[in-house]
Amino acid sequence: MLLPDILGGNLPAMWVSQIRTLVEMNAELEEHGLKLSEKEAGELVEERNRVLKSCGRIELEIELTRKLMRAFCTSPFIDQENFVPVLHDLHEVFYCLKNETEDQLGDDTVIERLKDLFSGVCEGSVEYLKGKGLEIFMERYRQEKLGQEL
Amino acid sequence: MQINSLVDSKILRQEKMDPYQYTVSLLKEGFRAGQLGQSEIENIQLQSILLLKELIERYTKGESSSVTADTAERLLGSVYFCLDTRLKGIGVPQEALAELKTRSVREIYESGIAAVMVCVEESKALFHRVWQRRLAIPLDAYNATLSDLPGFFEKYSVVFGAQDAAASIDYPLVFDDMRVCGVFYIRNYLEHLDIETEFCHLFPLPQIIRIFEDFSRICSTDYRKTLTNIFEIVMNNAVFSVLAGNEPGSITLTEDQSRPLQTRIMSCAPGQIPMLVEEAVARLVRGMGIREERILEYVHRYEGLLAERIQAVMRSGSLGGMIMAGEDRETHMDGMLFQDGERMDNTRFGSVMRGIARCSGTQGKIRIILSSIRSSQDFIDILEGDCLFGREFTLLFGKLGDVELAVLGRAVFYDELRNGPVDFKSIDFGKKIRELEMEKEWQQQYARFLAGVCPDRLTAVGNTINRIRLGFELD
Repeated sequence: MLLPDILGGNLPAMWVSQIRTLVEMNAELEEHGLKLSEKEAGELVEERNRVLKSCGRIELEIELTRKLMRAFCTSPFIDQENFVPVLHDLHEVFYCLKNETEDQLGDDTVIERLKDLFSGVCEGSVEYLKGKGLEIFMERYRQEKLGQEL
Repeated sequence: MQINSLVDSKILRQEKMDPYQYTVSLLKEGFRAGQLGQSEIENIQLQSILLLKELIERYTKGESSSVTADTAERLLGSVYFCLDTRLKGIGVPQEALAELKTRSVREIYESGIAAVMVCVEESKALFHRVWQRRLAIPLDAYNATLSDLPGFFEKYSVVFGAQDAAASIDYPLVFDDMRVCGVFYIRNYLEHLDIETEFCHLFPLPQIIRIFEDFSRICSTDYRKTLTNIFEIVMNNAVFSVLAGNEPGSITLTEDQSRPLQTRIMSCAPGQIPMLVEEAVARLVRGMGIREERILEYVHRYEGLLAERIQAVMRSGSLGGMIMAGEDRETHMDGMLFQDGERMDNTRFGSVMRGIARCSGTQGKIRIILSSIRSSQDFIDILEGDCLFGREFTLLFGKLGDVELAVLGRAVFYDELRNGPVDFKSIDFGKKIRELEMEKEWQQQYARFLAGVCPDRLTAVGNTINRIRLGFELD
């Protein structure tokens, strides 16, 4: 296994840089009445890493987290109180979906559909998103795949 | 002693260089020897991570920032395979480490990719050659391996999977270097397969098939389903045939020849076997005029292995199972030689002529002719090329089948055939031979040969000559 040897001692430095990148997003978040503290950014990176490990995935940058933040900060169901907890859950949902769809859908497509479901039929409920929302998501994916095969 | 061990501890240990993870072992060994600091190692790792990031972006076409851990491992493996290729190619670990310290990881990677691509192109060219020259032997593992190799090249990606060597290679070679990996293993395999193929082409295909049929009978198995190496069987029999007193170049042995040979070998002390094999191989090489360096090197490398195997079967008393011998039967070639449309170019023809000229024995000349010539016109050019004399023509004609003799007969009996079908049993061969004194020697020798065959053979060849004259399709 090469990854542990190569990633090795560089990970902490990468995470510090990623935390800084997330905090820099406050300039955009403030337009929507949201703010991310450095502590929260650190917890986000930590949660992201935990989910990546449990899903058996690797990500060397923080771009996905930024995209989630950018996409969901405009949702009418997001406020300062639930912003970070929702982001934590969204990471788990997102990476699991990437595995379930075998990386056939790009990040932007998955994020867009999750946002539509969250703000639409799930009415801002992450629990509903994780249940019924995912069923709808996968059903649509299967239909599309069947259509392509035919 | 203490000073020596202090000095030694600063030297990179060759035995610690893992050929399958060369760069990583170089980093570890460099750190141990104090030639590489922690920050230098982290810098190299960071550069590797940047390369991996780029590869992930290319692999996902920019549509995903994450991949599965397996995919990431494979992509990183591809990067390090290219780094390993470049650094191993330098040859000396100390110099490889110097390169790692002075060039960027990207530069070393790009040098490695270039070297891997050269290997891929060389492998493709080798495969093309091996495919063109493949032996027409119904050995499943041999044919399946050759058929599957194009699939490897189609799927191979030097960017995303440089380390891949997922080819279905079942056919065993005599020498298979497992120290090389990836596409370098494929190239090495094809190089050796090419050499083995060219060696086997020195012998008539019908004889090769015959000894494999003997193999099936002796080993009570269907040779087509076995993982048997063709070169090994052919080379073994070529050596045993020389030891049995046959002209170099023959690989078929009768049981009447095999039995006294076994007695003779068993009467030798085991220590005499290497010399016995060495002398037989030397006679084989000389008699067949084998000059190509890589074939000679391969053959001489195999000598030791053959001697060891003979010594082993001597101990177990199963020498008979190693000598492929069968019943004595004529080995006429039956219409397999000429495939018109396959004339050689001048360069290749010249090479064949030189090969024949260098042969000291008749059997060697005949071997070269029968294994090289596929066109009737090339065959006639050889006959007229002043490389065979007297009885050599008779020996050559004796190896031909009815169809081949008939094709030559068309030229010799051209005048007679102009007036219609010829009754060859009523031809005055004495008069014909005298008439041919002013023609090329081969024609006279042909008439002399035909005059000497049995009546049934004369009838068969004559009928075939007449059928060719009339333009009938031959079955």
